[in-house]
Amino acid sequence: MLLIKKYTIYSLVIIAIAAIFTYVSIPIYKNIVTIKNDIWTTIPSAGDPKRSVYTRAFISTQGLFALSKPESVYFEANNDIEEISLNGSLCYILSGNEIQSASIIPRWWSLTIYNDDGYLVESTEKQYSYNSENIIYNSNGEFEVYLGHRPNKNISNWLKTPSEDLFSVVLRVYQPGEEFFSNLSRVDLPIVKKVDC
Amino acid sequence: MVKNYFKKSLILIVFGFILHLFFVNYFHVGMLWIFDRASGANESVNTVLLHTDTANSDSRGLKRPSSDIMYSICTYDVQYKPLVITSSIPDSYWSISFYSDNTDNYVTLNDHDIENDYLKVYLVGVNSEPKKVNNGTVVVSPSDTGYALVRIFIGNGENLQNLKNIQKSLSCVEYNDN
Repeated sequence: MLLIKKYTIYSLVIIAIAAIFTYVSIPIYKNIVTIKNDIWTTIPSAGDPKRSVYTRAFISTQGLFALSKPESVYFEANNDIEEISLNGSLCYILSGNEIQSASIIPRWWSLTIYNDDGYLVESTEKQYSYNSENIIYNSNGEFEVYLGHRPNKNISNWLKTPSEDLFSVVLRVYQPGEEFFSNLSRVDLPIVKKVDC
Repeated sequence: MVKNYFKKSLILIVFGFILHLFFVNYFHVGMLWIFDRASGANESVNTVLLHTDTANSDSRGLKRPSSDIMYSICTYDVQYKPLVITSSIPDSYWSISFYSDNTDNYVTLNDHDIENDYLKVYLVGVNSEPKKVNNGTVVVSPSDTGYALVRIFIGNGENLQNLKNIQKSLSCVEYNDN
C-alpha cells in the first residue's frame, strides 16, 4: 500500500514537471523561431509540414489551421513603438504605407484586433478589421487606423479596442511574393503609436 | 542521504522531460479534440461540415478567426475511399487548404491555380488511389484523416451574396470509381 502511494506521488511529480517544462518551453521556443520586424513578430511558414513539434504546438494554441509559404504570412503586434503592451484603456494610431516588397503588391492584406484571449473584440459596429480593399487611404496613399474604445472624428478607419484589457493586432498578408518572404524582418510594415484619447 | 535525494530528483526530472516531449508532440491532438467537439467535426466526416459567415465577436470555433474571410470546412477520412471535392470559384481570392491529422498544411490551391473557375479535386489516401480520374487534380493526403479548409476573401463586401452562393457550391463526397 505504501509502495503504491509512493509511486503515485512520483507519477504526479513527473506529470507536474512535464507540465511545467511544456508551459515554459513553448513561449521560449516561440521567441527563438519568431522573426521580429519592429513591433511585429512572425513565424515564417507557420503551417509548414517541416516545422518543429514546438512550432506546431505553439501554432495550435493560436488557431490550429495556419497557412504556409507562399500562400500567406501572419504578423502579430502586442506592443506599441515604445515597446509597451497594447492596452484598451489607452488610444493608438496605426499608420502605414501600401504593404509591399520590391514593388510587388500582395494579393490582399488585413488588420484585425483581438482580445487577450484570441477572439474578436465586441463591437456594435461589427467592424473587426480592415483589409486592403475596404480601408480608406489618405490622399498621400498612406493609411491610418484609430485604435480606441471610442471613435475619433478625425480618422475614418476605426477599430474598437476592449475597454481596459490587453489586446493584439494581427496583420495577414496573402500571396506577398518570394521577395517579401525573403525580407520578413525588413519589409515596411505599419507602426502603432500611442496618442491621447 | 543528500546524494540519494539528488539522484531521485534527477531521475524525476529526466522522466518529466521525456513526458514533456510527449506532451509537446501531441499538444495539437488536445486542441483538435476541443475543436472537433465545438464544431461537430467528430460526428460529420466526408461531407461539408460547416459554412461560416464572416467571423464576429461571438465566434468561438477557432482562435484568431479572420473577419475578412468566409470559411468552409470538410473533415475527411480517405483510408478506404477517395473523396471528390468540387466548387465554383469566384474572380476574387479563394483557396482550399489541406491539413493532415497533425494540422500540417500540406497543400493549398487558390483561385489562380484552378482553371475554368471550377475546382475538382480527388483527395486520396496513401492506400486509396482511385482506378480512374476524370478532369481533376489529384491531392494525396499523408494521413488517412484530415481537414480541407476553404477561405473566401470578402474584400469590400460588395459581392457578398455572390460569394455566399459560391461558398454553398462546395461539395465533398466519397468517390466510387467501380
